Amino acid sequence: MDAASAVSDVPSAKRPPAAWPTFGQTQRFLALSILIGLFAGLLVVCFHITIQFLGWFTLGTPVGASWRRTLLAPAIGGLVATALVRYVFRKARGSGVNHTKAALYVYDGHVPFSTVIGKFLACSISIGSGNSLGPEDPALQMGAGVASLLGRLFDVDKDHMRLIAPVGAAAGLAAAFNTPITAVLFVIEEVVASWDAGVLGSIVLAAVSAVVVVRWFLGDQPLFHAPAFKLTHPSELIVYAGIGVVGGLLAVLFVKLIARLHIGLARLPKRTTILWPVVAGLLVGGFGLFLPQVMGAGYDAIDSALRDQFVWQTLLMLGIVKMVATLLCFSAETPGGMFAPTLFTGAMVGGGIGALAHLYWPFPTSTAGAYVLVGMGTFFAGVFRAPMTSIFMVFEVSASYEVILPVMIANTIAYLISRQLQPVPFFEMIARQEGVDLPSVEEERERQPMLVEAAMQRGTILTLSADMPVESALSALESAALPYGLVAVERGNWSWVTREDLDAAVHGGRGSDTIRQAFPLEPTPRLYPDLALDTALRLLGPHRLLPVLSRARTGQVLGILTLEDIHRAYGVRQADHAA
Amino acid sequence: MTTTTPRYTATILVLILLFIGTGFLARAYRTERQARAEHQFAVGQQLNRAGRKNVALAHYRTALQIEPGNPRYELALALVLVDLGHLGEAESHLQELLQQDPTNGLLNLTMARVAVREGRVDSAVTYYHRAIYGLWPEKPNTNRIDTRLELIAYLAKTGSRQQRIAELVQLRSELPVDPALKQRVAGLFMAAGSPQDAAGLYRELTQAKPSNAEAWAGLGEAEFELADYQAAQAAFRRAATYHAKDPNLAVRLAWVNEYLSLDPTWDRLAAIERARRIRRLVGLTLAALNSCLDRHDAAIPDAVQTLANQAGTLLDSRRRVRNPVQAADGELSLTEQLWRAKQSLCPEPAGADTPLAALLDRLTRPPLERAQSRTH
Repeated sequence: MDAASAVSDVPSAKRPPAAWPTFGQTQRFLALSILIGLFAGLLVVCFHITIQFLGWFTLGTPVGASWRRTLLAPAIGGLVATALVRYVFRKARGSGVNHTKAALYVYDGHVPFSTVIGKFLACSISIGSGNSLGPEDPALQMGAGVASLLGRLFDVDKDHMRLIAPVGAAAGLAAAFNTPITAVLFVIEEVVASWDAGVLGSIVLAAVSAVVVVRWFLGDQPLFHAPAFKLTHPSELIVYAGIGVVGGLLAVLFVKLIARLHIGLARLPKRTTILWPVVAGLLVGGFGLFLPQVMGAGYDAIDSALRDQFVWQTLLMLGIVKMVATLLCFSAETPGGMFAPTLFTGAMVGGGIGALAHLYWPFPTSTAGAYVLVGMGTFFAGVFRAPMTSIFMVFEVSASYEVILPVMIANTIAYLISRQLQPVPFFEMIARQEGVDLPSVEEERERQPMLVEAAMQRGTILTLSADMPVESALSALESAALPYGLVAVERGNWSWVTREDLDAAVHGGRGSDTIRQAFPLEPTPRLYPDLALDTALRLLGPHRLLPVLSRARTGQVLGILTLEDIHRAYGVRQADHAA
Repeated sequence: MTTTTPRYTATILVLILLFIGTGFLARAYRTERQARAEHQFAVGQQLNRAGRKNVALAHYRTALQIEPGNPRYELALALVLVDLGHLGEAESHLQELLQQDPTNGLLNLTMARVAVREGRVDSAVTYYHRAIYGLWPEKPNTNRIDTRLELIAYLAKTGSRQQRIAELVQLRSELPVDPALKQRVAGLFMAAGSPQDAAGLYRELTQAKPSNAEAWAGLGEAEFELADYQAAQAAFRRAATYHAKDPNLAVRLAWVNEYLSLDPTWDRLAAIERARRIRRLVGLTLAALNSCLDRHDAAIPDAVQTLANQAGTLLDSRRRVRNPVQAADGELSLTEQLWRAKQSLCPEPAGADTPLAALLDRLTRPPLERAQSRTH
C-alpha cells in the first residue's frame, strides 16, 4: 500500500492539468473518506427518520397505544423484514460487522449495494415495528456499502479498496450513534485491528463528516442525557466492580444462549424459519404490553433510567426482559443490530444493582443514574469483547472524566470474565454460524509475535575490519571455525563475508587486497532483538546473515541472525526446507 | 483522471440532491414530530390543570421523548415531577435546563424546592439566591420578593436567626409601596426576634395610614417586645380605637396598663404617687412571698422571715413619714429584697409573665442593665 501510494504520489508529466487537483492515492483516499462520511451520514439520517415514522405508524405514541398494535406490530414487522432479506435482498442477511470484515479480508472491499437497500428497508421495518434490535449494526453495514460503491466509482486501487469498507462502517456507526470516537475505536478494535496512520486518518475523517451531517439534520442533542458523574465514596468502586462481574456473567450467558438457540432452531424444519421472527415478534409484543420500554432500540428507556425514572425492581426486570427479547429476535434472524440492546441490558442491570446499593450499601452512594451510565458498557464489553470501545463509549456519552475509573474497572472485569468463560468471541461465533471463517481481531490483537532475540546467535561472532587483508580475514575465520564474519564498514554499518568468498579471493590472487578492495561491501539492514522475526525474515532477503545490534549502544553487535536460525525458531525442519 | 472528472461532478450532484432530499425529509419529520409532541404536551397541560398530575406526567414524558430537549416540555415535566415527589428525575431535567439557562429564576427556584425536600440546606439557600437574583420574564420584582419570602420561611424552619434577619433586611430595602406586604415583612421581623426592625416598619405604616389598626397593634407588640410599655400602651390604645381584629389586643392592653400602674420609676411621677405605688408593690410582693412560703416545705431561712416580718410591720403601720421620698426609696429596696427572696425560694415558672414579675425583674436587675431597659 505504501509503495503504491509512494509511486502514485510522484507527479506524472503525462497527467493533464485537470479541473480537479492532481492528488495522489493517499490524498484522494482521504478526500474520498470525507465524501463517504457525507453520504453515510445522509443515509443514516434517512434511516433514522424512516424508523421513527414507521414506529409512529405501527405502534403509535407510547401513551395510550393500542394493545393490538403493540402485540402484533413486531410480529408483522419481523415477518416482512425477514422476507425481504430472505427473498429479495439475500446479501443483506447477517451481521454488518462480519460483512464489513468479509469485505476487508475476503472480497477486496466489495460490498454489494443491494445490501445497503436491503438493510435500510428490512431494518427500518423490523426496528420501527418494535422488535428488540438496534440500528447501529445496519448503519455500519450501510456505511460500508456506500463506501464500497464510491470506491468502485472512483477506481480506488486495490490496497485502498480493501480498507474502504471499514472507513464507511465507521461513518455509518458514528452517524447512528452520534459518537465519532466510539465508532472509530470500534472499527479499529473489532474490524481493522490496525493503528496505521493512513487508515486511522481516513476512518476519523469519515466518522466526523458523518456526525456533522447527522447533527446538521437531526440537531446536536446527545443520544443520552447523562447525569453529572461523581464518585460519592471510594467504596462505590466495589459496587462498580460487582456490576462488571454481573455484566460479564450475563454476557457469557447471553452468547451461550444464542449459540444454543441457533443449534436448537437449526433442527427445526427449514420451512418454519420464516415463522421464527413472527413468534419472536409476538413474544416481544407480549413483553411490550407490560414493559413497552423493551421494544425497539430502547434509547429512550436508557435515557429515562439515566434520569432515575425507575426503581431497582423495574430496572432489573427491564434488563432481563430486554436480554430475552433480544435473544429471541436475534436468534429468529430478524434483521437488526445488537448494539443498542446490549447497552440497554447493561444499563438496566447496572442501574438496578446501583439502586439496590443506594438503599442498602453501608456507605453513601450515587443515585441509580450513575450506575446506569457505568453499567451501560459492561454487557457490551462482555458480548462484543471490545473493551476500549465500551470504555470510550461511556466516556463520550457522559463527557465526564470522573467516570473513567469506574467504567474501566467494570468493563475490564466484564471483558475478562467473558473471555475466560466464552472462548469464541461473539462475532466469530456468528461468522461461523453464517459459514464464513473470518480472522479473529481479538486473537490478532493478542497474538505475541516471535522476536529476533528468540532466534539470534550470540557469542559466536567474528567481526572483521574492512581494511583487513583478505588472507588475514580467512585465517581468522578458519581459526575460529566460523563460516562467515561481519565486516565493519563506515558510520557503524555492517556487511558480511563468507569463508568461501575469502577462499576464492585468495585463490584468485587477491589475498593481499583488503576486504574493501576485494568485495563490494554493501551495508546490510540492521536488526534489533525486539524486532518481529517475520520482519527480520523480510529484511534478510539476499543476505546470508544480518547483524543484531544494540539499541542502547549504536553499532554494538549483540549477535547475528541467519535463515537457519529463523527456521529453527519457527520449528521448520531442515528436510522440509530442503524439499 | 479526465475520465473521473464527470464522475466527481455526478457524485457531487448526487450529494447535493441527496442533501436537498434529506432536508425535505428532515423538515417533514420535524413537523410531524413537533405536532405529535405538541399534542402530547397540550393533553398533559389539560390534565395537569385538572389536577391529574400522574396522567399528565406520562404525556409530558412522551412529549419530551418525541422532541428531546424542548425546554417548555422539560420544564413542565420537571415541575410536575417535583409536585409528585419524583425528585431525582426532576433534578436531572432541571440540571439540564439550567445548563442551557443558568440565570432562569423559575428553574433555580424549582431546584431550591427540590433541595428543600431533599434536606440539602446549603444547596437550597444557594438556589434560592440564584432565583432571587435570576431572570424572571414576567413580574420580576414580585417573583423575587415571593422567592425571598419563601427562603425566609424556609430559614425559619432550618436556618440561623441571623441569616433570616439578613434576608429580611435585604427584603425591606427592596419593598415596593405595598402596605400589606410591608405589614407581612414587619410580622416576619417580629417572628425572627427583631422587634426594632418591625417597629420601624409598623411606624412607617401608621404614618402612611393612621387608621391602620393592624399596624398599630403590630407596633404595640413590637414596643412591648422592646419593653417600651408606654409606647406599647399608646399603640394598643390606637389599635383599639380603630377596632383592630387582634384577639390578644385587650389582654395586652390590660397587661400594659397594669404594668404602668405599678411602675414607680417613671420620672414624671409625683412623689406621693410614687410612694403609693411603692407601698402597693411592697404589698403585692409580700403576698407573692407569703404564697411561696405557704407552698415551701423546707425550713424558711431566718433572713427571709425577717424580711417578711419587716414588710408586714411596714404595711400594718399607719404612721405618716416625714420624708416620703426617702422612705419610698427604702421601701423600694425592701421590695427588691422581698422579690429576690421569693425568687430564690420559688422561681417564677417560665412563661409566667405577669406585670408584677416583669416589673420586679427589671427593678432587681443591676443598675446599668436596669437603665437600659427603662420604660422611659
